[in-house]
Amino acid sequence: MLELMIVIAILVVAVSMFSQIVTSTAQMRSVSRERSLAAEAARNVLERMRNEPLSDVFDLFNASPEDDPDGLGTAPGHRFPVRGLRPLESVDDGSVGEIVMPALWVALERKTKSSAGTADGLWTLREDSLDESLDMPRDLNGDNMIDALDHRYDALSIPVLVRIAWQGRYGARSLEMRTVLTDFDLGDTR
Amino acid sequence: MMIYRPLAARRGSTLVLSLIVVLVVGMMAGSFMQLNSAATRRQALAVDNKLAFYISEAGLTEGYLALLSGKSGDIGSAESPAIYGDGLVWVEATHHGDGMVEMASTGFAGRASTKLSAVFASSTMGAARFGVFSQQDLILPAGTAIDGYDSSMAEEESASFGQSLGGSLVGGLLDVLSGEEVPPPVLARVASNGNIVVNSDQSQPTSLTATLASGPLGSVTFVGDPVFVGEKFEDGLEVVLPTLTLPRIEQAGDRSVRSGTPVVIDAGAHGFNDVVVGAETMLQLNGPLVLVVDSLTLMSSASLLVDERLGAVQIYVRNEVDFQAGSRFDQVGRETENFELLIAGTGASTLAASGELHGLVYAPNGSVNVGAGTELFGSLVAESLSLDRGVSLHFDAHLARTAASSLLPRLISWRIDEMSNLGTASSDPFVALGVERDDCVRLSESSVQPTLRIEYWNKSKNRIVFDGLWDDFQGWTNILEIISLARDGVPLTAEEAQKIVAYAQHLDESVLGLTDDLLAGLLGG
Amino acid sequence: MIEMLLVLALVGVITTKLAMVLQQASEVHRTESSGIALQDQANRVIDQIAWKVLSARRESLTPAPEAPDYAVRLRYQVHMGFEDGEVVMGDPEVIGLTDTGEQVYWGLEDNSRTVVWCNTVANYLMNEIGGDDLDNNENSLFDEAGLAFDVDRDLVRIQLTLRRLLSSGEVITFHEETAVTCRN
Repeated sequence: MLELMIVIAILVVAVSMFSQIVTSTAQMRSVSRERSLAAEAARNVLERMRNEPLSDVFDLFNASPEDDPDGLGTAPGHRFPVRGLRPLESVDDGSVGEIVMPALWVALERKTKSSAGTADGLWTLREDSLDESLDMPRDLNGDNMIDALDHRYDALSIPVLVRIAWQGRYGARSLEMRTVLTDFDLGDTR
Repeated sequence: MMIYRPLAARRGSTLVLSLIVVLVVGMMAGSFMQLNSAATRRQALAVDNKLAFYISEAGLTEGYLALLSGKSGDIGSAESPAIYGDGLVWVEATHHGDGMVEMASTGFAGRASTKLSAVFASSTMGAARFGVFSQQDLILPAGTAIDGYDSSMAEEESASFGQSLGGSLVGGLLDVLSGEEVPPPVLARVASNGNIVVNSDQSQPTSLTATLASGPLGSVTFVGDPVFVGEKFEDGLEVVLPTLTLPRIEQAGDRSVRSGTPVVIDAGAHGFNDVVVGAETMLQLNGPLVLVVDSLTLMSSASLLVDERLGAVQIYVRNEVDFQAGSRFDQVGRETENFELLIAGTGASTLAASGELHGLVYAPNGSVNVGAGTELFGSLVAESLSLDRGVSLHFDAHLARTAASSLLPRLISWRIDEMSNLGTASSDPFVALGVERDDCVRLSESSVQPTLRIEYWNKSKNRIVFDGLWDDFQGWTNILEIISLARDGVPLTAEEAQKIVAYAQHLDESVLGLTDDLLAGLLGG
Repeated sequence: MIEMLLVLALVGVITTKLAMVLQQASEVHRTESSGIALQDQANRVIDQIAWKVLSARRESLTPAPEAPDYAVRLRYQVHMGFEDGEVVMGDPEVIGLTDTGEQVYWGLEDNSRTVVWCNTVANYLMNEIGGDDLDNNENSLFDEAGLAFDVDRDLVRIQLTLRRLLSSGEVITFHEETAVTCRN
């Protein structure tokens, strides 16, 4: 009888240890998988930005739909969902990813009111924006000066941060991927 | 009392069995954990590799930008890397004598490091930047008219005194009298590596709205009393003309156009040997077109029509061009960026056709004679230039700016050298490299700054010398003529110096940042 | 006597339970391990393909189909370095599905060297039903195979689905996709 009791106890311990291991490895896998998805999504976004001329990047991927090159709201914008990742509870639009560029909001007095859109201002690409995560402020158009002008069309480089924040299975998580975009002049190497 | 005792053989057997089961389950759990943690580690490293890759690319970008402004391209160092977010990077640039720069950028993030390398080639200075230029002495005969304009501006805004003299002189005077702001004239650039002699006489006065720059040991001399608005500089830096390389296009034999009916060469790439356009015959060239010929001759009363509206027309001539007097040249689009006559031969070419040529004429090895019937808008550069009396040349500042924009170093080759695991327990690259965050410089401030010694004529015609750190020099756009330039004590060639100055000035002249008013216009328009 | 019978019964039950525990643990181990291995393999292969394509010369990509066209095999050349003022190009390489459609391989175009990167490629990408000429998985491609390349200017999209049939009859699939621009 005593032997049986000991056996039962040992079995219970063994089985519970095994199931704990399976659970914790599943947890590790889940966290690792989520991070992998986030990194892959961030890479995708940076590569898609790289596929556009530098002078279009700010208009395409900022938070202002008014300056979208093909018309109001036609550009990808600065926020995006990631398949397999849930948005944080505080987020309304279902997106987990955000593209951050050195931008400042400028309120504008328009000469004529546009019939589309309601914003009375615009996000501008600014050298004097303060953002340590983007190494700002810094010169963007190669003139070795930091000014208060919008350099969306003449920037030689644009620092970009892609931030992914999601509600993971085991808590809120985030990942940041950053680079500096430029248009290298590709010579003919034939 | 009966006491039951179990068989001795069975005592403890269940325990042994259960221990065996526990052992097996434990082994399975162990292997499962090992497999999972190996996979998780690989996934984590893959994520860190991606992060490190983009940090390394940021370093390459920074090095490239440093090259643009004339610096070496070095960013940070292994001992003092640049910091960008949570990553570290440094770039080593190696300059080769042939104008090639190799850059190796090493980026760190998490437990990963990525090394990328790229090769950039110095681009050739766009020839149009040189304006009206002759390697040999440039002798301007009486009756020559040279001025400047900007084809990118509306006609009424691109006023130069030269144009005013020809057209809206009254309008210009009225503007002055009424107190309206008169834009400064666009000065042509007239230069030579030798001497410049400007002749003028009363019957045919010469009119120049230009900067005149002679070569080293050269001089600028006025004979007679030309009408001159501008500046003269002597003892300038020697100009090195870029090599003209003909594209490899199969040539389909001689082409003689004498039928009397127009012959059209359509868009594409075409090659012929000797092309002769006979009397009363027209040859039409439709862009976008690259035409390579051994020689190009327009007989008297022949005509050449260039239609570059749909794309640029480039004519490469291996030997000489002969547009005889009485022939005619016409251009439909009149965009200086879209037409180039590029003459590689060492002999004498003649441009005596009547008509307006808008574009670049470039003959770095031979001589070009321009007849009075040809009016050129754009740029004219040759080993030796001779002008007939009464020639009108108009230097296009916009074409020169476009030529400067081709000064960007070209990316020739890019590759991933290495992606590796730092192999450290910590996922903090600062710990792995043994550097303190506070000791690292921001990426945007980590470009290794060379010293600069530059001697030049500024736009007020003062001779200036600057000797200090590269970034401390702010006078690039005030340079009119460069005399010498040395970086880290090493004198740069004339071509390198000119490129650096030209690019800095191009930045100043190109599209600037948008003001709020311009932005508002964008939205409201 | 009764006690002996009870003990024997309990021993029997416990032995059976032990066997069941072992069997279940073994099945979980097999399924989970296969899932981990497949996921790991998909991650590795997609990254291997991505880094190769990213280093390739854009003009050397053959074919370079735009959606809804796609390719299962991509030929390309990478820059090996720089010597004597000239770029040194590598020999043409190929990444893609073997003729059987089950393996992803990398090799030199002249077939002098071939490496199989994985051999568990699904017939079609995840959620795609083959043969119906419809874009079931809404990726702008139709009836695409388990490995598909399509190109948009310099951007190459790479999609891969792996599939493994377990001895228990269960099928596990894993899908990975990425997009990279050619740097040369």
